[in-house]
Amino acid sequence: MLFFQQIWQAISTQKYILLFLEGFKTTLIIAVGASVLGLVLGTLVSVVKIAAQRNRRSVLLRIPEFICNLYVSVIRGTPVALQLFIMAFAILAIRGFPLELTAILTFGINSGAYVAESLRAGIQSVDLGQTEAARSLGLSEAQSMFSIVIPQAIKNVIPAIGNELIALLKETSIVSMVGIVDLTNAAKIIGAGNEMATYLAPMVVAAIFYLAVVYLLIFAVRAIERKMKQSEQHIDEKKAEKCRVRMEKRMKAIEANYQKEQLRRKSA
Amino acid sequence: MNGQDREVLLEVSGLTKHFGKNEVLRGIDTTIYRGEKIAVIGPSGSGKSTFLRCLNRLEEPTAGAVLLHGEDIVTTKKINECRQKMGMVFQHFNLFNNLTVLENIMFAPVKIGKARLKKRRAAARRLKIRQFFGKDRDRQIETGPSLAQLEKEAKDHAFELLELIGLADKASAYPSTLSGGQRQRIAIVRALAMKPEVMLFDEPTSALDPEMVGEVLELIKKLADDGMTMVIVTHEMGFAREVATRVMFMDGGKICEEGPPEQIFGAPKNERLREFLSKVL
Ligand SMILES: Nc1ncnc2c1ncn2[C@@H]1O[C@H](COP(=O)(O)OP(=O)(O)OP(=O)(O)O)[C@@H](O)[C@H]1O
Ligand SMILES: [Mg+2]
Repeated sequence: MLFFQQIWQAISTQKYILLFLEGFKTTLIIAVGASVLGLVLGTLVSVVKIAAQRNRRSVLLRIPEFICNLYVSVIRGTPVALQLFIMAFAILAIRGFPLELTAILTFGINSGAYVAESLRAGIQSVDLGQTEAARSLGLSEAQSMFSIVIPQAIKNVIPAIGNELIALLKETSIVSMVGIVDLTNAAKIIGAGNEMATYLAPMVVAAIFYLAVVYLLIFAVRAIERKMKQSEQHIDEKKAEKCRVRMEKRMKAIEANYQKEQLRRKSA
Repeated sequence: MNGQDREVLLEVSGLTKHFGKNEVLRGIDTTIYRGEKIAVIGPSGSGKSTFLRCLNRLEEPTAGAVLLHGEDIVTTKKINECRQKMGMVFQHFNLFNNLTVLENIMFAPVKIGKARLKKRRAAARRLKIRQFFGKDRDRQIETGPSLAQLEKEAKDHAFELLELIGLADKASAYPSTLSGGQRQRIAIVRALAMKPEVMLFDEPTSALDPEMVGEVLELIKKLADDGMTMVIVTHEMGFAREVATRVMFMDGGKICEEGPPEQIFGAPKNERLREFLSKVL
């Protein structure tokens, strides 16, 4: 019973709930910022890697390819906590530099490497015939990549990328190690306070926050997946209707032109 | 059939392709005139597909030249412009899975038109700046049709093409919902949407169920009757005989014999060709 009382205390005390919300906000800001950065970086890196792989003769692509390979292997081969320390205590140890931004950069760069690998696998899973068809029509490599291949690759990797973003959200909890007050750290601070005198209740509250967001993400990913599958398997009724109307109009116009032509011929 | 007074479209000389140590093409020389319908036949692995794919550089030739209106496709910097003049149809259709039928057809004309428009607008802007400083006063740059016009034209053309193949009602469907025959006919008109000067077909009916072969061959025949220049790799000997103006027999990476269908099918000289025909006919 005491446990539930403590939980109630943790969420009903204004001081505590404000601290929780503040921490939750920080967690979300870091996760969202890092996700955006990670997706952009990951896309760039995977495109460079694929382009270099498909144009083995191009010396110009060798250098960026080397940098990308180095980036991916270093990031994936070292612990993220270490990366955070290096960023916070060495590279970005600048007075006044906001720690949250350091965290966003660290996690963004980190997840970029994982996103790049997923996306690269996704791009490779798209039939080469799609690229060949686009190139045979006279489209450039970039045009066929960004308009034809990547949209299909994204569809294939949405589950993997979704998992990556979920993992990222949970991993952000280590920012407490450099003193940022995120959700996890907020729970720790509350638990350490004299009034509470227990860690369990605030930690459970934080866990519920995390779980709620994770489940929301899981549902979102599933919904997107379903939507994408549907759109390619069924005829979009609205679009079909629009097309039908257009067609009728066109046929009428053609008919009218023909009638006019006939009249003119008769009079001539 | 005198070659002198006809316009040369493609001039292939010494075309060679190696995959590592595997010499797939060993020096192909031929001239393709406007309006010709060339059927390429030959046993599996003789290099027919490779030859076709070298023509628009989907495969990088190891040596040789392919001149399109005098421009060498093998070395040109403007490969995309060259490819716009050459349509290609694949065995497995390769329709864009993420686009509807209409979007498949409109995609290349709109995308390429847009890029061109952007370039012209940038040039016009630069010219304006120069003119502001009193230079090039008499020059003018036409920016051409606007984006909306461009899209409308592409759309109208796409619908015309769909009407041609009787699939206008499928405009908003995705490729995965269509039959093989429908997909291949759409792939053909997608290539036509770029208004190419020559069409390259790589076994366009090999991946189709037998009952769908007819509709695709019929469409290709219609194109042929309209005067389109085409190169068709095919195993349909009856079709080659009926439509082709010239038949090319390839074996071991070389053209062993070529000539009008009556000669190739009626009086083959080459030993390998005779052997091949006895197997397939
Ligand atoms: N990308 C490639 N890499 C390596 N070898 C290849 C490649 N493409 C084709 N080849 C080889 O080149 C040879 C000729 O292939 P090609 O596809 O041109 O033959 P084909 O005449 O079209 O045969 P088919 O009638 O079976 O389509 C084959 O031996 C094949 O193994
Ligand atoms: Mg082949």
